[in-house]
Amino acid sequence: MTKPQQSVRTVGALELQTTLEERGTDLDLRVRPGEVVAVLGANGAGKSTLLSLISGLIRPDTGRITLDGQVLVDIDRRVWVPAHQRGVVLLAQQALLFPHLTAAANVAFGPRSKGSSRRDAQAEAVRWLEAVDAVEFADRRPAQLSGGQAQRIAIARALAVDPALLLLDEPMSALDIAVAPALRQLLRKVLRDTGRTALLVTHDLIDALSLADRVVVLDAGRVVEDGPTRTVLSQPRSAFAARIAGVNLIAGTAEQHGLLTQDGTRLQGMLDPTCVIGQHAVAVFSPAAVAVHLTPPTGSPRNHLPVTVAELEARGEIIRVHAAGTVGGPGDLIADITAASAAGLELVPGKSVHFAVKATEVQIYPSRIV
Amino acid sequence: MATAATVPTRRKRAGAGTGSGLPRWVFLPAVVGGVFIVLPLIAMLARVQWSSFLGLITSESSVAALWLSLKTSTASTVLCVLLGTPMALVLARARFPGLRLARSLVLLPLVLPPVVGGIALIYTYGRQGLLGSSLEFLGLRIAFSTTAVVIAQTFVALPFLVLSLEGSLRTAGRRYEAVAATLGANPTTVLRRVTIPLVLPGLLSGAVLAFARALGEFGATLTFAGSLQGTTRTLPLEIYLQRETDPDAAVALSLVLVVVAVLIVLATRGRASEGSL
Repeated sequence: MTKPQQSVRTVGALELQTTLEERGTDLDLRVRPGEVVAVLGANGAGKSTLLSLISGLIRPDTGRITLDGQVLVDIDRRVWVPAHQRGVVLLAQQALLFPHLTAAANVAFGPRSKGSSRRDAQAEAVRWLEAVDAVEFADRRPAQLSGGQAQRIAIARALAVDPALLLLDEPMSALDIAVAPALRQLLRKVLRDTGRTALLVTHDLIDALSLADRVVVLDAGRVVEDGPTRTVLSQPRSAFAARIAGVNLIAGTAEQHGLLTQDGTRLQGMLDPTCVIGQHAVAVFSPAAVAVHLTPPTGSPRNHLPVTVAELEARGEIIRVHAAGTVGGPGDLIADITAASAAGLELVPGKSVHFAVKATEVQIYPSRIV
Repeated sequence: MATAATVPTRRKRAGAGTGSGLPRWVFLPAVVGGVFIVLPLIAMLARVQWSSFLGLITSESSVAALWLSLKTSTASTVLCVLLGTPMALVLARARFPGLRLARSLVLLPLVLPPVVGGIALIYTYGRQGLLGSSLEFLGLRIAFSTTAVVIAQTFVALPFLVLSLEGSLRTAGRRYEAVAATLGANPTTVLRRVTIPLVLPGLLSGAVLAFARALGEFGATLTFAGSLQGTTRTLPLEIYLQRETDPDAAVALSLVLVVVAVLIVLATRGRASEGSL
């Protein structure tokens, strides 16, 4: 067991291999230090069970969980580390701020519980309230806070205990759609600035895109898909990921009104307000928004990308055109077109065509995808 | 046209009387029940001799009884909180075989006739009782002492506190406790800083109910502690005794108990609505 260095955060290495019959789960998962892993899956797929197992709220029937080499659970060897000694914090859908404490006292709760003096805990609370831009709410009771404000305080409270692993259980899903982007931006900041290891359960493609390095898909209590965010979301193999994803993703850096890829291709699109010019971003567009042309379309406001047809896939009335980017260009892309137009274009694998997509169909989000 | 005219009228009549969505006949038995409770109190009030009221409730025996009642009820309420809180926590949070049986047993004093409770206490703490002989050996004589009054009151009042607090614990749920644990709080800290503050309204109303039950306790006290002025004769016992010799004094003292009871009910209702989540 090597002691992690304080200066460079290398904590949060998780190894989990457990079964729990009651919830029908058989989970196997590894997380590298500093990694943010999005956990996707339908309701009842085992996402919340996974977080409860790691945080120590439920006990598996068999298996083992370790965090940074320390055994948290080992059923065979009868090891059980209780929740309060795990260094794992759970941030849930509801902020669950203690209703009888002020916002500042809520944030100070963790440090106080770990033995900090009242004064130190208070200073720590102020520091974290500043980090989440919520100092003005310090003396308020949870009942006097909006959902978004309360969730900010809950993030501060979670970070104040400096967890080795942060578990996020759909932290944005209970929020007003208007405040979710600001909170997502805040999470990006705190996850990136500190290089924190986190597991993020979500239903939202954008959460996964903008926060996660890696995506794990659960189905019926098992990991059915595990890979880099870009791969899982653009070429989903599982039915669930395909339902929420199956979109075109092009990585690059955000610029005014668009995205610049590494090879210099420019895409025009709708910039999400949370994008920062010059920072990593990803352009997302639906395959249905793509038109296929044999020659570059002229005099139109559309983006067009030269590609080579790789494969044609019949999906009922629709033909899905899988295409590989030209050398140095954007990666694999897909377009959904009618069978009639596919026939008219005489599409065959190996043929060079142009994918065109209107700027208004392209959404650009901040991302960790490189 | 006639039907068109009657339909709105009928609808209006149905809505005007109640506004509660209840059938109107329900109000009749409800009012009868309300009168059933209030009428005896009014009847008693009508018999109070206001001219001699102050003298009757400040007589030596009355003051002694009132003072003893307040002292013993306070002591038994404290005991109920100290013993009942852990009991409610175990019943609401722990999981062990026989939990349901344990809950039923705890609630037994609630349904037991108090005089039976008193007899059971005699055979526990009395001179010949299960523990009594050991206690006697230690020089402690409990039966027919003020301690016996407190024991009898605690015995009958404890379930009130346990029930009330257990309900609050179940309503509060464990979510906040789980959050507190993942924030690094050990079980004692969670209990002290999260669980107890969250159920404080339930604990307070439970304590007030227990106090009220202790204050009104009669049967178990008379059986187990007897009726010695200043030592074991609490207010209800004094009222029962006076009823034979001086009905006016009994009525005056009863009014004192009614006032205390009304104050307690008002206090709990206030707390309960404050504490509702």
